Amino acid sequence: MNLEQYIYYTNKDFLDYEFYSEGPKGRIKKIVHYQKINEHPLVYNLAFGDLNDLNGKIDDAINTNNGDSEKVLATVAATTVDFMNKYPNAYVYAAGSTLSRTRRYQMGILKIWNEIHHNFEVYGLLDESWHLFKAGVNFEAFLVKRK
Amino acid sequence: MPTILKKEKRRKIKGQAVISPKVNSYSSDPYFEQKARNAKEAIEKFGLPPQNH
Repeated sequence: MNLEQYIYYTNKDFLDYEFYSEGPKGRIKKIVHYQKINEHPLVYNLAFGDLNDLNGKIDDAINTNNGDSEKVLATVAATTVDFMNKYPNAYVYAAGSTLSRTRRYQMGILKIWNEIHHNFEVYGLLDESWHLFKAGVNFEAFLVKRK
Repeated sequence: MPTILKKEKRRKIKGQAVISPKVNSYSSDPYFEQKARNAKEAIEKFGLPPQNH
C-alpha cells in the first residue's frame, strides 16, 4: 500500500494487531482485533479502538483527534491485507460503532480502492442487503473477501 | 550503570506486519466481544452477498 501508515505488530495467530498513533495528543496505542463470528463460510469481525493504559481495556468512547486519522485508517486497512494473507478464504465484516465512524471506514476504503479492487471483493450493506461497493453510497457495514 | 535492553526477536512477513510475541490476545475484551455479537447478529439477519456478481 502506498498510503502512509504506522509500523504495526501482530501475534502468531494474526488476529490481534497493535500500533501507536502519534500526534499532538501524544502516543496512543491502537488495537485491531479480528474475531471469528461464523464458521461456514468463515467470517471474522474487524474491530479496533484505543487501549486504555489504566485498565488494559479497549475504550471506544475516545475520539483521539490526534490529527492522523488517514494514517490510522490506512494502517487498519493494511492489517486486513495481512489478515487475509493468513486467512484467504475468510470474509471480513466491518461496521463502525457510530454512523460517522462507519462513514470513515467508507472513506478509508475509497482511498485505497485503486489498490484493492483487483484483489478483493468489497460489499456494502444497504437496505438490508449486500451490494458491490461503490463511491457515493452511504453503506451501513462492509464485507471484504479475497477474489 | 549501563542498561542492557533485551532486543525483541522479530521478523518481517510478506505484508507489513511485524510478528511479536508481545502482542496480546484481545478476544475477551468486553468491547470487542460486544462488537462481535453485533456483527454475528447482522450476518444472521442479512446473510452474505450472492456469489453471482
